[in-house]
Amino acid sequence: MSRKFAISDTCFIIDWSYYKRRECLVKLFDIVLIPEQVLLEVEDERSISWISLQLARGKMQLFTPSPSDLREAERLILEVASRPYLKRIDIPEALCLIVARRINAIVLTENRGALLAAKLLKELKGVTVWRALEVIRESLVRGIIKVTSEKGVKDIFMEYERDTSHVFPKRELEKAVKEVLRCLGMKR
Amino acid sequence: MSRYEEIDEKVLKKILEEEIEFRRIRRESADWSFIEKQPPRIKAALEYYIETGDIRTSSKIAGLNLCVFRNILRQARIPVIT
Repeated sequence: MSRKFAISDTCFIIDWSYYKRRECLVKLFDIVLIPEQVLLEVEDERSISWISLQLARGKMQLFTPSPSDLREAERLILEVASRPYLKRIDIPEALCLIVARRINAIVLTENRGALLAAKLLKELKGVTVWRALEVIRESLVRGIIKVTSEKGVKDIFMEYERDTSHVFPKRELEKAVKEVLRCLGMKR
Repeated sequence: MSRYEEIDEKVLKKILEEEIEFRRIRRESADWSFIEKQPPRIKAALEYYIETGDIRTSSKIAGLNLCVFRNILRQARIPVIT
């Protein structure tokens, strides 16, 4: 069976490390890659100490992009910038997208530019991008986070919002809750 | 032939609607009295973030590391919404 890889952007990991159930991320994937450019941006004590611990445990791995990865990322930034319907991206998220495409990893980001690029750019077709919303949804569906009721499901998402000062879009949150209830065979 | 993708009008409309909704949520949640009290660069960066949701450019405007700026967003009660 192939190993499940994820590659994380800065904006995802700095919020995620404030979540009390943050360990579910490293149970969901075999390896979470942290690009060097992402690690350099993390200065917050809570985030850097959690990431360091996961690197030491081998659940996360530092990823050093090659010169050709960097050239590809720069090209992608310009492709995105040339389209008025997309939002700008920078090197860290561009690297995540191009590396994910190459190694079939899931991109972890809260960057709207990266999210829209993966959704709309023909060359990124097939690249999966997860926000915290999808990571929590999958953790619930796969039983990594255990719940026994519909209220329990909603509380898990709200807990993330409280811990990190993040807000999930209402419609997408409802969709995620519905999906979890369906997969767990819980009735509304 | 155009090198650009053909994007469904409905998809573009949805993206635009989301942008407007997210901006409204950031504006309405923000602690404006906290923002007003900030030094010029941080105030400008917080206002830029409310308008765009672009944390990296905002942190550069503020002249701060991204993590430090994220904590200022928390203090200003501006949520990250994607």
